[in-house]
Amino acid sequence: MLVGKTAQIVVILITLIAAKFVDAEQLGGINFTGSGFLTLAAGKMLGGTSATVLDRNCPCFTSDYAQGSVYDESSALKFGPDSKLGLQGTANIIDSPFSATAQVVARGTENGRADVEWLYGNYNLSANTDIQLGRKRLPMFYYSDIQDVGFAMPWTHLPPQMYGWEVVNYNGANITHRDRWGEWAATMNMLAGNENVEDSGYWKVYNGQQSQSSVKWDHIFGGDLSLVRDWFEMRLVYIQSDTSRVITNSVTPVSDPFLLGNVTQQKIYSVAFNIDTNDWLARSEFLVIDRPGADFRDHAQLGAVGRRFGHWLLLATISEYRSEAIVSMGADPQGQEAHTDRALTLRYDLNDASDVKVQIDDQKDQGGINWSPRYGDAQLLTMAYDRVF
Amino acid sequence: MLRNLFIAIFILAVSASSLLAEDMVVVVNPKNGVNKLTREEVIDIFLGRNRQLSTGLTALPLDLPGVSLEREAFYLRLTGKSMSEINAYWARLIFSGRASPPTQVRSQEESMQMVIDNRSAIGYLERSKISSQVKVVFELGAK
Repeated sequence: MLVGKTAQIVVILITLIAAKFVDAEQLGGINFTGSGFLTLAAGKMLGGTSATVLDRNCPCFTSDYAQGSVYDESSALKFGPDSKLGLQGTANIIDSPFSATAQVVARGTENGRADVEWLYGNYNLSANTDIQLGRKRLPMFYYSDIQDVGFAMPWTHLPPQMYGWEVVNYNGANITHRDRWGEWAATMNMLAGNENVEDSGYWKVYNGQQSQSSVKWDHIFGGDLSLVRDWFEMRLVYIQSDTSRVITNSVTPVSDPFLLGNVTQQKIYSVAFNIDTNDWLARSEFLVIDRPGADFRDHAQLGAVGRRFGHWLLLATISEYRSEAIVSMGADPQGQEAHTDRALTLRYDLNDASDVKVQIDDQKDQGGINWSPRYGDAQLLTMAYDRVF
Repeated sequence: MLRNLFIAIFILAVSASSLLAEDMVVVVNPKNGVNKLTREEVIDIFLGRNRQLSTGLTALPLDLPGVSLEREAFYLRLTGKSMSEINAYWARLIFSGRASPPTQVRSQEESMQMVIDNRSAIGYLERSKISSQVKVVFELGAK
């Protein structure tokens, strides 16, 4: 554990040093480049269902399940849930195909604690093929790779119904190949690895802030394929893994057999269709997670339509999550989680590398009558300043 | 004071529009074997989608400084995207390790010199800046 902490501090220090060299700098045969991103966000609950849910005073809105980022009634204006600072440093041995990259992210939701999110080595097999080994983001969704980079996305926070899972990173290897297939630009990525998450923010949303969890995704294997043609983009994803969880200190008793350490196989299917003309943009994404032998199946989807007016972007989004009860396996059809969020976002590009956004979310809890924890409905106002450097 | 401000804005507007009005071209080293590129091929190279040239060489795209009007004009004419959209696109790739951005140079003169010196280099310039030592493989035209 001490070695892990020491290694983490060393990586953070090296990343900070490399990130200083925003313009490339050479030292002893190694080329250092640095970059970073910043989001300063503030949010206020405008209304919703007033109730005490687990250990929170609601109305509550979960903006990022993986980090346990929740806006609630506890303060008039909350700055923590969506604020973050990331620094990335890359060291490349000059005239060689090897490089190493580290990305450190400090989150407001963790009181600014810096964590190593990405740490990987890269080998350029050819002009269009890379092999990477280390810790990376699990590419389940279109925006997974840059879910912390506010400037690269149109929202103040990602639609939580789609982008809300217990695991977002993995340790392992991947191979990426870029090619052109006729009129289509194609990017293929295959990956394999595993991930252990202690005290996932995701499970604190469902079991209370003091609850503890241990999540394992073993034998992760899968890939994604992106196809781009002019203004149209399509992305297909398949990832499978064995998964198990143990939850302790839960506010309410944990009776779900899938939270008691049993290993279940899961198969993740995801597809995205995006349109991006000069003035109009549309985003759509669909997800199914199937667990053979389990008593529920996950469904999530989102759709967004936006219009650019010079430096302005106006975007309307609807996202939905629904847990499907497998009645034949004994599941309660009235005990399933379901919610929908409608959001309206206005973005203004301050310059080529920064923006400000304001967003209103209106979330409806559509869970079955036996579903718990029932956070209820919520209306949230968020504002954000994003910058990359 | 106000008069000087108006004059400065006028000069800036005139110079900006004249820069944006100038014909732009994509150039390579004459020895790299490529005679012509399509718009899609140029987009692939500069947006990191496919950098393998038909000759087998790996393209080394060169970018002008981030705040230059020539860079803004190049990407606008090539992709129809503003620089903030292009930067958002690159943020997506840089922070995910999926592709590396073009090598940045300080000026059109440095870009042309690198193309002259390196068989793999590919740059974009105003037509008035090119010399006979580089080969035009794509024309973006004037706005």
